Amino acid sequence: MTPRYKVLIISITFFSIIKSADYTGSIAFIDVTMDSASTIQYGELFLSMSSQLQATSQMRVIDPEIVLSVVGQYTDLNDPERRIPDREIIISIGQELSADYVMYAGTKVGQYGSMLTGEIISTRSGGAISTIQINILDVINALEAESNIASWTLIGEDPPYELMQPRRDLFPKLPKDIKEDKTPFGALWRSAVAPGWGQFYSNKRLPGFAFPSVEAVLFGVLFYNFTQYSSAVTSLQESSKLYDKETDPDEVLKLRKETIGYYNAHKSYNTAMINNGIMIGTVWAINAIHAYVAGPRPQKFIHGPEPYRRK
Amino acid sequence: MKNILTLLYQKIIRLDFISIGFLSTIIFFSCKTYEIKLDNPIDVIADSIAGVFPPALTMHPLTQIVSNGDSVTIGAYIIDHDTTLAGVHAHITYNAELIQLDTILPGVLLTNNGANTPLFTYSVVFGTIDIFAWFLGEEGALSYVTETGHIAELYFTALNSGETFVEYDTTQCELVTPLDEIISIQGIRNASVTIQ
Repeated sequence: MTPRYKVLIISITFFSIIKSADYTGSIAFIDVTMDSASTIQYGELFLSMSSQLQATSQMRVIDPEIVLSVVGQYTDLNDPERRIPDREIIISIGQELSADYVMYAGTKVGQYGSMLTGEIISTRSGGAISTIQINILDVINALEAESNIASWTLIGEDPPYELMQPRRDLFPKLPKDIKEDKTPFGALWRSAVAPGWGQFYSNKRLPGFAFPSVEAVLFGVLFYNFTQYSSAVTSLQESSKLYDKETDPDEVLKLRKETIGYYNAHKSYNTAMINNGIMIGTVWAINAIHAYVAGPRPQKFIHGPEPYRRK
Repeated sequence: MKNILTLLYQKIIRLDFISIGFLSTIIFFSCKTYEIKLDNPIDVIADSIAGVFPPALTMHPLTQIVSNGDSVTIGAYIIDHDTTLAGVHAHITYNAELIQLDTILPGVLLTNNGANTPLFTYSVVFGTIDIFAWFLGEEGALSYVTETGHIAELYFTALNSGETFVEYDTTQCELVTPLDEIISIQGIRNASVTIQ
């Protein structure tokens, strides 16, 4: 039964990454607990996903055979009781495959029963892009409930809430129940500290480059205005002193004209600096807001609509 | 829905505070602008702004602060007389208890930068100076000058603490043409000396 759930979990996780549409590059599917039966199913799944990806042309799936050959260097594929390797090893496998992302799925027996875990990790940052965990017991209960729900549907009645409960418990639907390392607030504070950081954190490379570039240009203009302002202030003070001391009528008029020129220049550069500062601040704020709005966030109904209103 | 709107509102307010705080910081720390006061008594434009119109007699500098025993130098100038000037009588008063006159030298307007020797004399009575100057030039008695310039340089020594004005007495000052016609004086600017 386990491989079927793995297919399910990988499909859902993969669907979520495609829907988010922020990630581009190559992905390697690593199933370190697959057995001979699951190999066939995963092969079908890879083919199915590859055809979907070709339509989106966002993510390239690395050939499963190549993946298996690399995975085989890290774990004994013939050992039926092999365990999921450490996260670092999975990332290393992805890096060796030159994949931008790796997805792995496996089963771990924990305190609450057997947990199926599917996770997509960025090989560069090491951060989790998407994680989902399913308790196998919930799945079994849900499948039993589904048959009962079907019976109620046949007689044209709404099934009781108790029957719907296992369906909801199958997947964590509330955002807080969906594990996600990255959050919009994480993107916000990063971009508030340094423009573009939050965008890179959210894997949005174009705005990630655009915001700091615009800020760099604006800071360059600000620096230019500041040097011109400082120069004008120095000249203004010197010229003003010379004007006050000068007693030659022609020189006085000449110094008057020069001083007024420096005065106007220092004022215009000061105004330019303030406008520049406002522009920098505005772009900075837009960058932070953009990071928050476009930041990574768990999707509420990623696994379908709520089956039943909560009591 | 209400909860979502409330949450959204709180987020927007928080972002607003961040943005406004950031912009305020930038504006607060932006560079200041300087004000200038172009008020050189030899500058005809500055004099006009101060309400002193030519032809005018002025002193440079307008104010100075010195210590006891320091020398005080004040220049007497004629501004933009715009006609032929041959002779000047300047009657100047000051507080003789605070400053003491050392000497007076003819200005470059009358000496033509040292090329000519003007007819230049002065008398000093306690706190009063009368300067009589006549531009001789190379042409002889009918020589004149037409531009703004330096009439005389007055050298004082500070005696006691206090403030004194070195002032023209317009009722007795005279400017004349080579034909001894009076040139009307429209304004004066006096000097003040503060001795600390």
